[in-house]
Amino acid sequence: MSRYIVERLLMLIPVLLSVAFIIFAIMNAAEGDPVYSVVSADATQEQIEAARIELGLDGTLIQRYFRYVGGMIKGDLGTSYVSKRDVMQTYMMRLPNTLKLAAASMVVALVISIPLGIIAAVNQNSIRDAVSMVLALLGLSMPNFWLGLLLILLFSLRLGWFPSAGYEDGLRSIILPAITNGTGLAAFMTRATRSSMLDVVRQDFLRTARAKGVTERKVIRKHALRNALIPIITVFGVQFSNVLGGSVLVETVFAWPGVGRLVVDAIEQRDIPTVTGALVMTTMLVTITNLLIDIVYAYVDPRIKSQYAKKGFKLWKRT
Amino acid sequence: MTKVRTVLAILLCMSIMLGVLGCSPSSTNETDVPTDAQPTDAEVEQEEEQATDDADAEVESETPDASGEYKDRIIIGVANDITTLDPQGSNTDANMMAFTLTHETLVEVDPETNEIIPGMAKEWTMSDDGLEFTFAIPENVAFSDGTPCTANDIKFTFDRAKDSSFTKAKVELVTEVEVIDDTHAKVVISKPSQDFLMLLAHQSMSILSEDLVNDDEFGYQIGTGPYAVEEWTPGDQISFVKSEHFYGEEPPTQKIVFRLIKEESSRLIALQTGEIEVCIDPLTTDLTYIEEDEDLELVKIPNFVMLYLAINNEREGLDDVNVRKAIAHATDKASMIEIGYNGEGFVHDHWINRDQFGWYDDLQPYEYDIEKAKEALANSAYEPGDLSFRVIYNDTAKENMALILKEDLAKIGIELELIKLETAALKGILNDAALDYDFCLYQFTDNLGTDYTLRNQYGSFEQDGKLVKNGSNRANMKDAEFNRMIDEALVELDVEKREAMYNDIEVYLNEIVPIIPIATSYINVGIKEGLGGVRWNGTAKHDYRYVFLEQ
Repeated sequence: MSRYIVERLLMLIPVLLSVAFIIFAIMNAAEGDPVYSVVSADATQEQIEAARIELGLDGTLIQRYFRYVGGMIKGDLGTSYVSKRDVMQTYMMRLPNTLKLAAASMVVALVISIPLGIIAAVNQNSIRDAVSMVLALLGLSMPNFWLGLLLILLFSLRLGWFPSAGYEDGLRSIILPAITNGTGLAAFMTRATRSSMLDVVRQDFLRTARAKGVTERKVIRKHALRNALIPIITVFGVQFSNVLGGSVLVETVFAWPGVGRLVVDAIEQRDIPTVTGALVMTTMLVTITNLLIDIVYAYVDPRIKSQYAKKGFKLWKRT
Repeated sequence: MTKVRTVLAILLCMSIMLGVLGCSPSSTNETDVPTDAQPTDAEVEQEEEQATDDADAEVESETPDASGEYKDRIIIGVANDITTLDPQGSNTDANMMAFTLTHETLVEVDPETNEIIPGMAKEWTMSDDGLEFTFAIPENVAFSDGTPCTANDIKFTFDRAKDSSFTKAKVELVTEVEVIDDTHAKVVISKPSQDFLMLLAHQSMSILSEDLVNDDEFGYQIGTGPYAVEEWTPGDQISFVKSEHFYGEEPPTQKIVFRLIKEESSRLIALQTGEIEVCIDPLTTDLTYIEEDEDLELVKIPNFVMLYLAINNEREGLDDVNVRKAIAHATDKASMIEIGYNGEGFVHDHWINRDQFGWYDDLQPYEYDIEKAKEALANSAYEPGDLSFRVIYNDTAKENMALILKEDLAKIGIELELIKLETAALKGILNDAALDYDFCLYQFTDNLGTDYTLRNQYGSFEQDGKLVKNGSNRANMKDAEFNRMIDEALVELDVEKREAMYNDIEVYLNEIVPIIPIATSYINVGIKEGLGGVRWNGTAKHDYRYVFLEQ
């Protein structure tokens, strides 16, 4: 197992190098010279050239890339063209906000999706199943910026229960953005839970459990749900990774200073070090999250754990 | 099972409630789009007068009552983030508002009268030949960390300004800064300039401490203003607290916060819920919510921004003045304002900014007239169908305006391709030496004097025997005669003669049509009832030093 973890972490290196190169190439392909977005319109040629060297924009794309990678190895993600601040420092200031929002959104999603998915599966083709699926479809179809604004109008403006923007009020601040974000995520997870549960509820071992007199609640909770968890965890992992990249619309509507808005603002300002640094860090986070999800598989399903123990592992074959 | 039913019922009720809320008129913007026709000149003048009167009335009634109770903290909801705390490191409105709180310039411009008033320098003298300015600062001026401010710091600021691309043009004429003693500095310029003091009033010319800037990487953020930076979280907010070392009148508010809320509707809701006290730039379609709310007030300030169609005068086809005149007649400015600004603006037909010295009232504007446009094109070397251009721009409002222009130009046989770009990419193209554009919908903001506007917008300078355009000259205009006219006007000491010279320059530009001026908009600000002390500014660099809110 530990060899597997080490090898997965080593795989991170080519992934990060590739991501950095792709971002460099894309930002370089955009129209116009980035140095002009930093200097004033009145800049002389000497000032433009000085700014180019100061910003590290001199040299070819490949030279700049290797210069960047050299810094990245030492933990230096560069300095923002716009704020002149250290990119790593700026990213680390935003990351806790994104992690808080991601965690709260996933809690909301789990609280809604697991019960709804189970109800739908155990009552397949009934009115309860239909209602659950309609709610899931509703969550999936509603644009989250629209839902966010509606929640603000109701709970902030009309009822005054929660603040409409910012994060200064602690738990009260996070509730509306988490519900907004979590509703969309819950829709995906409800469908995944239902589908996974439907595969399991037809299995013979559940019939045996019922025949042995185990209560229905225990059959569902202890036998069915546990065996249906692997696909649910997979969807959870994918959704969590997405949220880690930042929920730009939710962050914008609720003025939540997270990583998503940092990246979008940097793209608008053509702040290449911030875009590259933030995306490299997010890639690293997502890869580590995926690794953690794989480790969780082993704890949920002993068969997978024994696979690691007996056969070793194959990187290209994800369990 | 009963519990499950209850949960489902609650969820269903919530979604119905949200749906109903979403369909209620109060949350729908579409019903509130103003449908008024474009105002006439008289209406515009009346509106401007009204807006100015309102602003005057506000300023007059805004002196904080010493016995009154004021809120300790005022939060201003802004749309744009602070990018740097170095006054010489940028020229954005958001940054300038911060520098007004933390720093001081030698002189200031009164936003009401456009006249120069004392800043840090309480008095100054100008030599008879107009080449030497001697500034006197009080003895007790100190930076917010307690470091004394002396004339040495004035010299340091001017020297540093020469190296920054954002301030270089403002000190171009300065040949020497002499430190007479701790409180007196003499600034010598190479030729008389009637607008020199205007340039010194710009926030980018805020006085910096030589010691602090040399000793600390971020020493530039410490100024002599009434507030000091308390905490800056880029992308979120910046807070300022009263400086203990400010020598002037004590501000009534302990703490001022600029909170970034990019989404306009969220910003307005934050004002309605009381989370912020000032909402900059709400959506024009949402203004009725402010007007109808008895706890809020709407402040409308006529903008100094001139929206214009930049024409690259060196492009084939566009180098023909008759083609440019044809385009000027085919530009339906009123419709562009209606669609792009929701009617919240007025037509701009002049070559300088609103209210600037030298504004020529009798200028003959290019009216929207397709027949005249066709006539002008017939006088050019081109036939309908010969010409095809590209227009670049950076936001949806301008995109809507460009669509109108495309339709009108098609009527006279000129094809127009629309290209929307991110702001940074747009700036990159405009500033790139290649100047690879035909048209650009762009805006120019300043209140630094007529010479600065004309020189930057249309001026050029000689280099190696050739004319090179100035940085903000998006028309790529290189006209020796125009340069001569603005140089002569700049040094003319007789006010009436100088005004007549600028009138002539307006007429000259009207004849060669280097750009198409289109519109001036309003700056809208939503504020809490009882908020006062702000000096609203037509350049959007509002002065919050003495803002207060009655408890």
